[in-house]
Amino acid sequence: MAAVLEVRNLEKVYAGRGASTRALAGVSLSAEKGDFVGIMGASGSGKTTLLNCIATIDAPTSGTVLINGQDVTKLKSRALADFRREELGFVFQNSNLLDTLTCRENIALPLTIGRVPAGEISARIMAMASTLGIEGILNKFPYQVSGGQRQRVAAARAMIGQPKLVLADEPTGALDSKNAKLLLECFEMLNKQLDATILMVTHDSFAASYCKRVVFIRDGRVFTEVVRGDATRKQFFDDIMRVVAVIGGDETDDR
Amino acid sequence: MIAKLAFGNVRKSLRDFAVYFATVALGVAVFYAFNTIADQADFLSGDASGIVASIGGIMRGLTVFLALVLGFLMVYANNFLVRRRKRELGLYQMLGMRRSQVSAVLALETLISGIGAFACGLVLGVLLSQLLVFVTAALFHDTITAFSFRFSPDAAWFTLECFALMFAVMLLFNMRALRRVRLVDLMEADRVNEEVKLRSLPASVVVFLVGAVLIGVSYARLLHDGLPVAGFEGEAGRAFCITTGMVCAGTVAVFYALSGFLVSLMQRVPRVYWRGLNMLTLRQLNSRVNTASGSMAAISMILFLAITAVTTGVSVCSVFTSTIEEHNPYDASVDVWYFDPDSPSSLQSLPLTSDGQVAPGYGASTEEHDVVQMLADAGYDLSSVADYNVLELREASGLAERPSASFDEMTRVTGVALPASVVGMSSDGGIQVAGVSEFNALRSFLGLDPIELGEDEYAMACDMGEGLRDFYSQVMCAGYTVTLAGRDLVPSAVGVIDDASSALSNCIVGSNPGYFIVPDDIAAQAPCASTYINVRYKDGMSEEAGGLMNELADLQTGDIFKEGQTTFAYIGNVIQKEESWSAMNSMTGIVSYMAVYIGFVLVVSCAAILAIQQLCATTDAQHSWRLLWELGCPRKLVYRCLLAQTLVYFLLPLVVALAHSMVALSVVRDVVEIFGAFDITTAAISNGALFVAVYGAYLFASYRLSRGMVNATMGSAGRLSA
Repeated sequence: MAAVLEVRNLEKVYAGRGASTRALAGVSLSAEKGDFVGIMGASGSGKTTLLNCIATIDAPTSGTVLINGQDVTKLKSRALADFRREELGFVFQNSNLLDTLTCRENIALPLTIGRVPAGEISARIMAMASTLGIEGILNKFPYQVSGGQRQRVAAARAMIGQPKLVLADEPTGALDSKNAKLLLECFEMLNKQLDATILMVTHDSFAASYCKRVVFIRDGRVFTEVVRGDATRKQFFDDIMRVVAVIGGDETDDR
Repeated sequence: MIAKLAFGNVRKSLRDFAVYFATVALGVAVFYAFNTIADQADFLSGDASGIVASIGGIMRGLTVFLALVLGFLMVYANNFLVRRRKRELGLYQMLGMRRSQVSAVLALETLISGIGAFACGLVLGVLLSQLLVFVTAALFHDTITAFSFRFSPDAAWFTLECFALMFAVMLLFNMRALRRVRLVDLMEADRVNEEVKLRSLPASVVVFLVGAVLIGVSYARLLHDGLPVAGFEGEAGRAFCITTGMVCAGTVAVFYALSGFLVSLMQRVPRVYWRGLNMLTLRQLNSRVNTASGSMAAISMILFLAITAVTTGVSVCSVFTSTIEEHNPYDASVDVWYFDPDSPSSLQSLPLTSDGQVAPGYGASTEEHDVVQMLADAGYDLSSVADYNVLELREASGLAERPSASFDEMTRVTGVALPASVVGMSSDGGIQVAGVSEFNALRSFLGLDPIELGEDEYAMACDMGEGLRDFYSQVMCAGYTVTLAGRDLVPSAVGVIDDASSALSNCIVGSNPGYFIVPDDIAAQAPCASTYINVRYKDGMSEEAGGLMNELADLQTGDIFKEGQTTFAYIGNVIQKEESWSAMNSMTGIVSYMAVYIGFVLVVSCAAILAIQQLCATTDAQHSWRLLWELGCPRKLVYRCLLAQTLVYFLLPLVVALAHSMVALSVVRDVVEIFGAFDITTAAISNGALFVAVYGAYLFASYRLSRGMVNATMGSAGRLSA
């Protein structure tokens, strides 16, 4: 199976005055179609920088990012916009929905920007909404619905354009445990039913346990990788917790 | 520390401040420049100098009024800017700054930007005032006698006072805004999903339609009723007040609901709504106009007032300028008005003379008098210094049982409607008559061909505008018969005369509301109501003649015209051509200056408010622009969305204001038409172009600035989550 994502020797140096910070020090990882990869690491470990470089909204200092075989670090800014729109989907920590648009319109945004015919838009939204169980709130505004519902709307927006790769940055970060569970189950379902490839940054071990495998980042390098395989979610969670304990208890403490 | 913060803040928010800063500077410049007008008198010669000095006083009063308007708008704009910085102000307090210290930072910021703007404005104003000297000279057809570059400390000080007061008030409001909010609100002002005050779309549609209908009905009412010329009391006045209320309510309703209406409308057309950023454009406008609908309606009404007032003023002036020559065909004119001492009714409600006696009223004398001879007997010999002509107007009402020479009778018989410009005048008063040979004498005095009038015919003369002239023409075309002294007179082919001979005497505007020219024998039977002595100075005698006229003007109610012990007439008006011209010049000057001054300040204030709101909205929506970029939205689409919003935001109030103005002006036109052909197209357009240019500059600037902001937000590759 062809790799949807191929990251090779990614480096990112933030040059400051005098001192420079090496956020990424040669990260390599890959994901195949239908993969659900978690990226874990302490604050400052470089996991968000990695995600931004993959998302093409930050440029790496060196190394390559191949998405569907295309090197995105070589693309020009205008082509990048098209690329993001057509190949990528995003879910952010604070859902980042537009306040002035209804949930339906928020989900439709990537399609209208991409000039999808109006007739098709409506049908695709309904299909996506019923998968995620948000049909009832489509005509509401973001401030009228709960945080969990907002995140599911954001997930719908990320998926509506049928992207090759969905990038999620701490999607459960602002949710209570019940809503977090709901959202993660949605991700799992999207991954299974629609064969979506998902890359999720998190520092919550519970969230990570929904992934098929988890890559640990430490000081800008890949520290280790844990694969779920046929293990139950509970077993996988325990595996993750063991690695977290090795890396250092920081991230479990700050929650 | 506080100073450092304040300086830093001003520098940091330079873009937000830029529009505000520029507006204050422009305000200072204009205030200063127009207040130097009084000082410009020194540059000018004689006559114009006096007029210009008096304009200075008016400008000062106007400045106070405009300072109030500008001050209000500045307070509003500044409040808006401060409200947006809630989080920052909250942060200061979180870090342990006392509220008084935060206030000090704000005060210092205001002071820094204020001083900067004042300095820039003053420099601009000084330059502008040098230019204005030449404009003044051109306005008064005068040449500059002693030009030198100069600075007026007086005007500068006055401007400073105005602005210092404005800043003080502004500061007060800032403090109040700061004191009223709780810290937790300040900190949460920036939370991600802001509650947008939205109104239900179906309700918007209803409100919009109600508003539109209200405006439409008020237009129809105004066009039908016209202006209440007779004043605000009575039926017409009440109707006008209702119409005004309707148009105000309608305007507010339309702005309140327009965007919601547009969203509803566009949702009906999915192919447009679900395309590109169209839905975002509409929704963002909707959320903004919802909160700003009040200020937009107010701005629209202010623009409407500015456009209407300026256009009317400038147009009336251009009418005066273009017709003054034909309204003042003589070097001077002396009106002698008769009165009837036996009729007590004519003595009522008349002004008192200086010695406390009741001034005589209008009336008529059945005796024939040679008033020029009587003047000469009293020592004012006209014939020695000037050629003159005498025209006597006579009262026709005594010649018939029921006067057929009246507006009422004319409209009753022919069914021709009176023009709006005379509706308020006393319409039951009779129309006067003049003998045809006297009229022909006047024409030959002016070098015009005499008219031919048959035995049983009448013609008319009138110089008070097309409306009235057309009215008489239509009445005559309808074959209207005037019965005088038992004779039926039919309309002559001569019709209504409106050339120079129709002017009764010198006047800035028309002086003759219309009289009949009838056969001499009929005129001779009517009592004399007034005598018009029109004078042309003899060569080289203009100084002496002018002196004589001045003496006559001072006489006014003196008792030269006596019959035995009874005074039967008095000198009503003495108007020399030069007086008309200088009165016209000063009026044109004042109106032109006032029009530019008021119009400019109002337009700049409105445009500044809109621009600041637009920029703030763009900043507030920053995370939206960022998100669009992350979703891969092409810049071109975002720019288009931004441009559409800016255009709608600026043009909507203007379009509504223009619509209101057009209707109002068409009514105003009917009323002021009496001064002559009302022509909006000339001077008013140059004024309008200036204001549109200023407005457009603000529009363009706010688009470019917000585009720059969006660009900065989108271009920088930073953290993924905002």
